[in-house]
Amino acid sequence: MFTELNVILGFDHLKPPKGQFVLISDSLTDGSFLIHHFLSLYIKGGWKVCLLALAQSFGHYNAVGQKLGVPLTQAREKGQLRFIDGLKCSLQMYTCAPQEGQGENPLRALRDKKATLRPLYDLVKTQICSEEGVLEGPTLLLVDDLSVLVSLGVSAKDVSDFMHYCRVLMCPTQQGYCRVLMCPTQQSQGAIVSLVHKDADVEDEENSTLFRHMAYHGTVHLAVEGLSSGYSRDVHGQSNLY
Amino acid sequence: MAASTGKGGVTSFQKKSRTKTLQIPGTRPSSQGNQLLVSTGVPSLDHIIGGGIVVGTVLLVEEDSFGNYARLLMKYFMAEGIMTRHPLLLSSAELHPKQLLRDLPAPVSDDIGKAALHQEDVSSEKNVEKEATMKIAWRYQNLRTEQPELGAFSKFGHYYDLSKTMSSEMIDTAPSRLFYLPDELPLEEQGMWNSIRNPAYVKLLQSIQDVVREGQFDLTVPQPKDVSRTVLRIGLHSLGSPLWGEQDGGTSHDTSLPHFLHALRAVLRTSLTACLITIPTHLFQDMAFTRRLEKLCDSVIRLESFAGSEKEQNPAYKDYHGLLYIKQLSQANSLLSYMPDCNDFAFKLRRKKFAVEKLHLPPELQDSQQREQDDPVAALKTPSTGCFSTSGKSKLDF
Repeated sequence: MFTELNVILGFDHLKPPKGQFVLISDSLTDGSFLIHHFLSLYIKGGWKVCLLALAQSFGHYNAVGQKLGVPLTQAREKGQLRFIDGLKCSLQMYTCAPQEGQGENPLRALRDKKATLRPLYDLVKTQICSEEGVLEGPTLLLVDDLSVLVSLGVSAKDVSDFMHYCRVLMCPTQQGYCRVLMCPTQQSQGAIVSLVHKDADVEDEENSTLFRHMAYHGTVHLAVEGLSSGYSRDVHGQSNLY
Repeated sequence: MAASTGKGGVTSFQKKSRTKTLQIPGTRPSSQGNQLLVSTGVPSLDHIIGGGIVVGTVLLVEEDSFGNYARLLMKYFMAEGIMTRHPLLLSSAELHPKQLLRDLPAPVSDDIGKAALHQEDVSSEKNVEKEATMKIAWRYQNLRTEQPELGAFSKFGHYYDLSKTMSSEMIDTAPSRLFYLPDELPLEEQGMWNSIRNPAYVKLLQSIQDVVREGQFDLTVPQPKDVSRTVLRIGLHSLGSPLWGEQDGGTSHDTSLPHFLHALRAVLRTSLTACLITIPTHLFQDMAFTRRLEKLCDSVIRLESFAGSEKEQNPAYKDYHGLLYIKQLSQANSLLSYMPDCNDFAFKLRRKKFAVEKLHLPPELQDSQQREQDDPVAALKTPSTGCFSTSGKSKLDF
């Protein structure tokens, strides 16, 4: 979608990025267009994607995908796109009675203060990996978005732990981290792109803590914000790359 | 391009549409994509938020200090629903929803004549008799007066007269479902505010889900072709007020309301509904909490009324009753939200009409401006400096 951005980042739909943790942060504007960009990049290239959608429904991504020329329903049927519907899980958690089996719901942490996001990580792992538990081919884990988890009451620490586990799953040969777990000759095949909201005018402690943790883990940080000179209809904002 | 000779309509132009959008009376497709819009009832507000409320999304109205204008917007929304025959679901904690419904603005008279097709209305007949023969536009004498195919129900956005209330027959025949908190939740249970999930919100969400399921608004359930579909209008008045259990205004990071909004989004996205929520965010102490709520809704506007504030005295604002800020616009099903030209809007409440306009500062407010200290326009530009400010002087002043 954005060819200049791809050139700058060194991404290409023929050669997907490997071992990268891209953090998108937006301030007073919406950075979700970058989620659509990465999604279409991977789908067009034919690589596998796991989309953990906590903010929007499948219909939203599909509608945008149709405009961008990326057929998401077909990709989902083929198995190229694994969609985890966060909205539906959250609704189930909200309306079920506390005694009823919360059962297999991956977002158990929303009701049960003692639970972590471990079930969610297990679900992601089953969706992405083959039976041996290894990534097959370049894979992308797209998380849209992490601030919703914080708004729903999950602590920044739990979200940070979850993302750390995902990172270990997707990009294992980061320096100094995983020598204990995997043999160092394994090629890191995966990449993660996640979105965090970081509004500059409001002091949200949990969100800022989460953002700092993610910035520390990440390899690339794309910051999207409005124009510093004010609102303009034609130019929506600016983005910086760190 | 099918050129019909007009079934009594004025124009015979028919657009050849490739995509099959649902034809529901009272809605229209948005210019941005294949989305349906419903009107809020205030045409000027529709215009600035991009045509109307997108079906499947939430419009959040952050209330003004006394809640009057937010209540008025809710009444407009409900009145529009009655005019377009959309079923209503109205919830309220303090004011009984029946009282709110009793006080809806009446539609402007020529709409009543067409809308009350099932009633005998003498006034519409009188209008027809009074039509004199046309002298200048005599060619149009023989054409019938405009009768849209489906009557007033297919029209998008009606005009209302605030000095009159809608007739109770029209209100009573409209399908509506009311949720009044003290009725739904007995007082003993209302004391359980310290649980993780606020039971009031859970009850409300369950009743919304029930209505969506019973009224066949759910898009995931396939319906037979001959069932005509319609849009459910949900109005949640003054959610998040202390009566719903929000005690400390977000400082305790109670996640009941955010979770409710998130779960509501899950219900709305897969059904034919449009939702208007008003929340008194001025009661919340923590701005971060308000921001989280905003992110979980699709479109957000904030009302700020001048009543009781020092802005009331400011002559720059003398034509208006308050300011309206657009904080966020819906991005559902599209890459971009609608981008308005500017973000300075003000609203005014006339005797008969509520309208939203672009804020125009008059070029000169007083006949003679003696001192720069008296100039109210300059005072607006530099609100932080005091009377004897030296900043803002041009180089020519000496």
